[in-house]
Amino acid sequence: MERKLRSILSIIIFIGIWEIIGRLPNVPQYLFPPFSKVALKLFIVRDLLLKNILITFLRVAAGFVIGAMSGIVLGLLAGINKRADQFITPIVSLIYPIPSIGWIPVLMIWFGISNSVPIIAVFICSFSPIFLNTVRGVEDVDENIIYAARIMGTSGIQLITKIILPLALPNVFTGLKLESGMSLRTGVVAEMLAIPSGLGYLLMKGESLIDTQLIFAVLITMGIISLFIDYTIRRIEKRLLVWKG
Amino acid sequence: MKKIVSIIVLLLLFFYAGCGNRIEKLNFAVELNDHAASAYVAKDRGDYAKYGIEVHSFEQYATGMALAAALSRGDINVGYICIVPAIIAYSRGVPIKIVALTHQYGYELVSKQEIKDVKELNGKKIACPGEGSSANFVMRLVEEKYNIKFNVLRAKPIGEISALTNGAVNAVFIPEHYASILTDRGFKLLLRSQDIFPNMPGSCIVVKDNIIQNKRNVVKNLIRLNTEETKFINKNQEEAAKIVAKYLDTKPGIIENSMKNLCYTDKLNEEKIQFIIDKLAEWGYIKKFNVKDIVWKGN
Repeated sequence: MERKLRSILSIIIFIGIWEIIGRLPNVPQYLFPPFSKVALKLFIVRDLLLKNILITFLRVAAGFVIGAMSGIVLGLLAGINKRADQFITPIVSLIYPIPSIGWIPVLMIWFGISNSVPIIAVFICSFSPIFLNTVRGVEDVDENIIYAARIMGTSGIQLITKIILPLALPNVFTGLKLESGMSLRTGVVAEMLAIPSGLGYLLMKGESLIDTQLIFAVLITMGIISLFIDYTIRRIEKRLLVWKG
Repeated sequence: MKKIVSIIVLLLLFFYAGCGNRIEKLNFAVELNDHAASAYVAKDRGDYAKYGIEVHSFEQYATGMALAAALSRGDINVGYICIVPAIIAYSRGVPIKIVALTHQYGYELVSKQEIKDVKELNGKKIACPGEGSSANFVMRLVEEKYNIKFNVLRAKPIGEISALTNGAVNAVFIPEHYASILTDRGFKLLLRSQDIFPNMPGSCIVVKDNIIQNKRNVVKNLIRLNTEETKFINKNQEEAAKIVAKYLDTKPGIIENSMKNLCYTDKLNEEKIQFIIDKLAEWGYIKKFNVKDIVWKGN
């Protein structure tokens, strides 16, 4: 309870400092608007924001879910099967260090101005780290547990679904939590560069119209969405890893 | 608690100190196109010094919106800028005044050759600079006049050229001289700003309020110089094109063709500027204000 109060207090102090700085006589409000004006802007453009939040959220969710599912499935395969590991992991390790936003220009040429660009950019962003974390999670599973399960007659599929996957989940969730925020950032950057809709587009609109209130309103919204995604993943993790205590 | 208070005080001091009045040196900025021909000609012929204008820096910006942002930050205090970003910057509270016009028109709709009529572009993908640009203003007027709606990709002029060249879009609303670069490559000039908005103010010279207050004579000289350079451009278009081409790193022939699409004039048409202000307000980009608030006539 005390921790929560401190968190709320720190946010109130942060907003207070923001408001004071925004109202200093030598600080132009068109460059640094006070929080109260940004809050008012949030209210004024709520319909526009909601529409674009939904668009961005759907794009990011689509790319993230496809990337995460592919990463987990291929990660399990590579973790279990040495040949698959030797084939897939070097390719993923090669692609992983490339910033996902670096792919956007070529995606724009391949797919034009379409939803595919942010979705695929988010897919690329989320796939590699989740794959590598899943492989690490599978490799970390105690071999004695697998041996014991086999002795007790556990089939191949059961071994994966009942033993290996649950034990690899902590690592998988580490990857998911790390990449959820990054996926939102990648999706928004893709929208800024390539797509005339979504939160990224609103940021560019704000820049074009020197509308810093709109820019801050979108940034606050992005922060809230990031917190929501992180909170959701943590809730799912808590439920699935209930055995971990 | 003491630590928190100290941090807050330091932060406030930092912001307060960082945003103080700057020394009033004349920092010029122009757009990277032939709209700013009078600035390029004045610089090339060394005329600023002849008129007692000491240019401390002379920067080029890719778009009027980027230049407007630089004005708002305070990086520059004299800008040759498209009229729409100037109006938007003023409406946000940036302390500037328009002191002269540099030209009329200068925004075109360039399409693939197979497009025969503007109406064919209804619902089609086209490219246009951001919503704070004059090209966007012309695009919105076209949408209204023809009762059509474009599917718009936002891009800077260089990006628009790539998008049209690689077939990602069917047409672009683009400022000169980029439009002439495209027509030189075989694309079709489908519509000019003069076709949709007669006497459309193109670009202007804006000056920060503190410069007008403290260097009134210098600003008056700047207005006089602009008048002289505009006369020179209209009398010696080939020579002016060569000068501008040098600064834009483009073939003089392209610049000469481009300059024919513009009408170089220094005369401020308040009625037309008010029309732009009213339209921008109607579309929700700015709050309506009177043109007299933004125009400075040297009084």
